Amino acid sequence: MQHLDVLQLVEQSKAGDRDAFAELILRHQAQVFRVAYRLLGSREAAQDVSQDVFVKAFLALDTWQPDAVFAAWLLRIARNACLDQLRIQQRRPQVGLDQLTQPEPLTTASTERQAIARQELTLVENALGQLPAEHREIVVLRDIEGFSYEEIAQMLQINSGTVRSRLSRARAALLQKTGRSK
Amino acid sequence: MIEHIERQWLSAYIDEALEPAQHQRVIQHLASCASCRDNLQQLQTLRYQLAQLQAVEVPAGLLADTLRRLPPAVPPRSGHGRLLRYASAAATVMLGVFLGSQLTANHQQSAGWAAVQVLGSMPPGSVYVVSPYSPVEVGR
Repeated sequence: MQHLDVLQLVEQSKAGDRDAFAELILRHQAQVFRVAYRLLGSREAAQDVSQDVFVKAFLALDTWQPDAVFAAWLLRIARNACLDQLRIQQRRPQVGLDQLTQPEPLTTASTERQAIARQELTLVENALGQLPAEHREIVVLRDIEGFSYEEIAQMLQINSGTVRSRLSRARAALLQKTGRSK
Repeated sequence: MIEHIERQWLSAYIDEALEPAQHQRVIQHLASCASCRDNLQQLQTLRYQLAQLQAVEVPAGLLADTLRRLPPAVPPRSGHGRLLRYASAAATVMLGVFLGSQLTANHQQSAGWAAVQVLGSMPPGSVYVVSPYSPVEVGR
């Protein structure tokens, strides 16, 4: 299965080959889980949503057009599932990354640099968790997952100019939250 | 000469998403503006740190759990399924045309002929005798 491309795997999955779909999951589960985790702020919720995403994708394989990037198509499903989940969470007390991740205290001088780097990373992670969903998702898709402006535009159904301006605002908000903005 | 680079331009600059002319203007400005260079450095550091957040461990059972939840097969949405839907729609239209033509033919044969109208402005199931000119309820 590993030698087959996405199009072949999709066609075989549609024909009922579960091993082919398992290969598709294997190739994309890390990205789907990471995006869900960053958007939802909880491993448990991200795991549930990731499963939902692949089940939905399996049922909708007929609607995937080969000219679209499969990962982008999958992440669009993931994004919608996460937004649904966030709407449900809004009605309940939230437990986000900011509450789950605590900065480690500085230790000895020999590990000071590493500890500072870890602290700063934790700060960024917490700040990301505090951003509005609209800003969080665009930062996750661009700066963590590395999608191009055009791919993000396709996923979020907005134009590239909006990707550019929204991303800029989101980064500025992150800098402000991490105390680096002037 | 711009006073300082717009925040949006700097953000797009680190993504190499500016037009060539804009890109050149940013480079020229950065050469002489320490403040914008500092802002650029902040953005680049932020992006570097965000890229490091990629390391999130995937739950071990995700694949197996997902496979257990999959239905036996992808439901057909194309091919025979779609063909069947088109065929039944076409058959419905043809049946409507046929029935319509029969009613018209009967009206022409006898002006006093009354048709039974089932679907009209009355609730479903109401039965009327209608003449070509004035509807009269059955039983009157």
